[in-house]
Amino acid sequence: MGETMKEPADAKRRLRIPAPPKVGPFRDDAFTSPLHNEKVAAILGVALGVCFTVCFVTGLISHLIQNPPSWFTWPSRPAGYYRINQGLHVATGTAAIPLLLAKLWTVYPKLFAWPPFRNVAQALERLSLVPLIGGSLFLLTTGLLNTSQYRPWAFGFRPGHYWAAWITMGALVVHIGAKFATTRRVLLPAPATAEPVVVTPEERRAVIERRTFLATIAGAAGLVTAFTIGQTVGGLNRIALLSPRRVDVGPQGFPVNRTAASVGVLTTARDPAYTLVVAGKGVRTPLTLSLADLKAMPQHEATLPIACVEGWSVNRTWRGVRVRDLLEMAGAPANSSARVVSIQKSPRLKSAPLNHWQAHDPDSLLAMEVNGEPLDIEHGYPIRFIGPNRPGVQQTKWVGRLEVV
Amino acid sequence: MTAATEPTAPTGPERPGAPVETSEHGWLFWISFVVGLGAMLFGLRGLLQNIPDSHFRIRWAQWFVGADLIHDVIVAPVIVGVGWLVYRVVPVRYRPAVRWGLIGTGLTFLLGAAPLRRTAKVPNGNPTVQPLNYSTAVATVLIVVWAIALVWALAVWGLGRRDGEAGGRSAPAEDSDDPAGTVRG
Repeated sequence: MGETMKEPADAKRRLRIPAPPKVGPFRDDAFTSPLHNEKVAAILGVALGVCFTVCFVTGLISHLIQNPPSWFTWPSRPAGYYRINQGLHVATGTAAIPLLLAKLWTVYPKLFAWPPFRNVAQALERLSLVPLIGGSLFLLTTGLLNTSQYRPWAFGFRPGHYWAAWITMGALVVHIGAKFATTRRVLLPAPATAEPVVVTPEERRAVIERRTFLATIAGAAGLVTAFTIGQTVGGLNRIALLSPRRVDVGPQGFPVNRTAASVGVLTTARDPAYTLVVAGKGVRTPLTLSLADLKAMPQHEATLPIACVEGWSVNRTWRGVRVRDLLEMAGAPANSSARVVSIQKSPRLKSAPLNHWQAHDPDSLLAMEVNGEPLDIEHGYPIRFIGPNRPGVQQTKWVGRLEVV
Repeated sequence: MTAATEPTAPTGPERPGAPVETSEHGWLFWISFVVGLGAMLFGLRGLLQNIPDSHFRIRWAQWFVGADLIHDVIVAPVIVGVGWLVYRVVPVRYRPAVRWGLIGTGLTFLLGAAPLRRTAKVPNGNPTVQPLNYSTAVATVLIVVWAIALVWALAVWGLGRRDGEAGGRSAPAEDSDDPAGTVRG
């Protein structure tokens, strides 16, 4: 309504851009489906907005946990929260794929609208569609391929994906500002009128077609979710046919993200002289402990999830020595923070920080067993860190040092 | 059908062929523009700081802009073309079932693309990544998708027969093609 009423004023400022010939998609009757419709676009837009917001917030949390700024301290409880966070991140991203494609198809005729803009505000709004659409497709494509560990781009996934999310969400905010009134108008019930509403057969068919189309897209989102969510929801594991992981497949019945061979620990991890060093800032008695020493210490058991940033997660029961017991034994300052350091050669993900909550949580362990068996080398034999409410990349394997920082 | 379940009348832009959306550029737009632009600039700054190598920046830009171009120039026209074909070939009452089948098929291949590619090589030497036989997995999902489509089409066919018998006609009149003969993309 607003655009129509402003037409005469806008027309005075309108740029003289030669119109394209009325052929192909520029024909007035090129797109006649009733599904190219503002109500369809609004409903899909709201669904996408919800998915993208959940994806952005969960992604932001995951990023902050892995790159904590000085003002951010991630608690160690609730123990399973990160599993939900990352499961939601990947599931909403996957469900957004059919929603996004349907939305882009619905509004595709707008690409050929002429003139492309009528005023400065509309020009800015349409310009913001480049980062919105490009960013949305970029995020879903790179995110989907990353879960399969297929990364045909040269840049780092984490910075490329994370900063693209800020650009895309910024463009989404602009888009919401431009479409809010329209969306509200088409989605809220129309005010009742005294006049009887006449529904023509064509209009009736259009409404049924719109509802059928939206139900189909909702079904498609449900389809991709059903065949992938099993990588994090245990009961659906058997139907996770399109998931890049099966949580029951791998050494000791669960997957690994980085193999022992890929980080060069096949020999060093099996060395009989393997020791754990506890040292660092303020430590009164630095320790060098053999595996026998560690096994002689009080053992603690905890059932905690391994929750991968790529979306798969699984609960396992771990047994080992409490980190806080080791810190206390070494005489580390009370409430100190620490980090666990792997013996791996590769510098990538070699160490992980433990803030004071995580270092002193009773379930933060240097585990030597999982589900009653000694750890397989692929799961970090002889010692791995396992703690509550952390991403899998921070559950450091093949731990050689516990450093107070 | 009761009044409560009666479809509401489309008004204004809901009519076939009407403009898809309209925008309003009041104060809410300008506030969101400032906030959104700030987020975009923050993201751009973070990107430049964290991807310092110009080669990788160019690769990032190629993926970012390329995704948009590939969609607009290839993906969307293909979808429009398939929609046009369905419109020409499939009777109107079976179109939703066929549409479901085609959308499900496209999504299955989209999600199965990376795992299907894996058959020649285990990613990063890690056999727990994509551990299934994805040819079988994709085929199974496609069977499920098209079984749903078939049930849907049969239900529509059965309802059509029932209505035809009840009303003394064999098929709904809406089976006719688009009178204008226009592309239903």
